[in-house]
Amino acid sequence: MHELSLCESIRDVVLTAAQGRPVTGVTVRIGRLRQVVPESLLFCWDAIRHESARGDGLLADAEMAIEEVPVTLACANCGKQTLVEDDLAMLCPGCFATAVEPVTGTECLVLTVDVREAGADRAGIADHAAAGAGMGS
Amino acid sequence: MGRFHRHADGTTHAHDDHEHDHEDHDHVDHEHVDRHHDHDPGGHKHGLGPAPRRGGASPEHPEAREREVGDHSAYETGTTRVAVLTSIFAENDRAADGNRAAFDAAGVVVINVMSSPGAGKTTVLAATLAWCRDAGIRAGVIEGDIETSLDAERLAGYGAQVSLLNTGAGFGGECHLDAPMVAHALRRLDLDSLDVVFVENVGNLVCPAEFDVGAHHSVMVYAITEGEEKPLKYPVMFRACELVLLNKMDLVPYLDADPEDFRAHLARVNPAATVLPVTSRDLTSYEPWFAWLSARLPTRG
Ligand SMILES: [Zn+2]
Repeated sequence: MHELSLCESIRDVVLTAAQGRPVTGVTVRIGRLRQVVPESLLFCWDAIRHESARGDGLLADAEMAIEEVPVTLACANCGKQTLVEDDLAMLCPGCFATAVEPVTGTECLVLTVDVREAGADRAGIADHAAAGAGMGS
Repeated sequence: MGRFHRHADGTTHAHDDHEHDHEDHDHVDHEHVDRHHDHDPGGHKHGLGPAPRRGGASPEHPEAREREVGDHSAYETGTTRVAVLTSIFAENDRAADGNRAAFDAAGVVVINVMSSPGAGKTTVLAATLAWCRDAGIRAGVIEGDIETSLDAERLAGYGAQVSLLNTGAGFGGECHLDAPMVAHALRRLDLDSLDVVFVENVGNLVCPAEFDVGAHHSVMVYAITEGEEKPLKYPVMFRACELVLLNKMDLVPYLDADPEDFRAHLARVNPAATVLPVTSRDLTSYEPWFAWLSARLPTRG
């Protein structure tokens, strides 16, 4: 399962960004060339949330939103950029040249992470900052 | 990368100690604080800590994104939207760069071997290891796709160093090798005494292409029995390889699949790829593959 591996990577990125705070939302941007099935990604993310709920719970409430990006190909032959609707073949829809490069559609990013600011967590981070380790600013 | 710690009192925090040496580094230091629910005007002081930075309109934080923050009024405390913009593969790519540096330091050429299940990858690898042994080429194998323990015994019989990865141990099993797994397997190989390492990836036509393991070359073993149209169905995978070993060519007379149609479909997604037909029924069919390999191995004095 491709999507489960991706969700494990997303989890690591999200936990790093959240710095110990509970996460309420995650937005990811995935290009269609990644061949990710959004329903499978959400299903696997639910597995990650359930796993979290059995542990520290930081991701238990983390809803995922997926921003899908269609494939756009730039053609070296005719110079056009074309949006590819269905067929994933690396072929210019205008002139059928194969000298194409994807301009969009290969994205695979965590965009945003929403975290809950609880009083206890804030104090904990403050203690940590006071101890000199800093918060990366 | 930040490291998470859990203290005895149950609090967690991260040390943001990573190096900013990657384009997709974590933007935690640009954290955008957007508190929606300051119910108590005098609250949220919490004494010792630094005040959170209020959300400013910096280029990384367009107003549109701020408006996406939902209403979390059920909570007594506010919600912060952290702009992350980190590649999901950032951590893997860092580990892959580390692997590549280790391979380069030892002067080893590393070939990532991908396939679908049942394409005959282990058979091709066995023939390749036998050729390496006879040619005096010191080979290692990182084996991530053992179907049976017989496969491992078979490969170990050619004098190659073999490092086995138990890919079934992960949460739900693994569908590919990633760079940290390969880094782990590397510790069981003596790279300085090797010329070439083959990474036998998990048989899968989607996932292995996504995870850079730090190899110098990617090769696919594809059986003509799988049909001629798969390149169009799995373009990412077929774009990720520079050479396709078209296996089981001895079965072509019994199939509808036409190798020329396969070549045409492959050219639509990866016009630069080389196709070399092979069959285990005729060991001379491997010779172009061995020549391709020889041309990419370091010359030893
Ligand atoms: Zn064109």
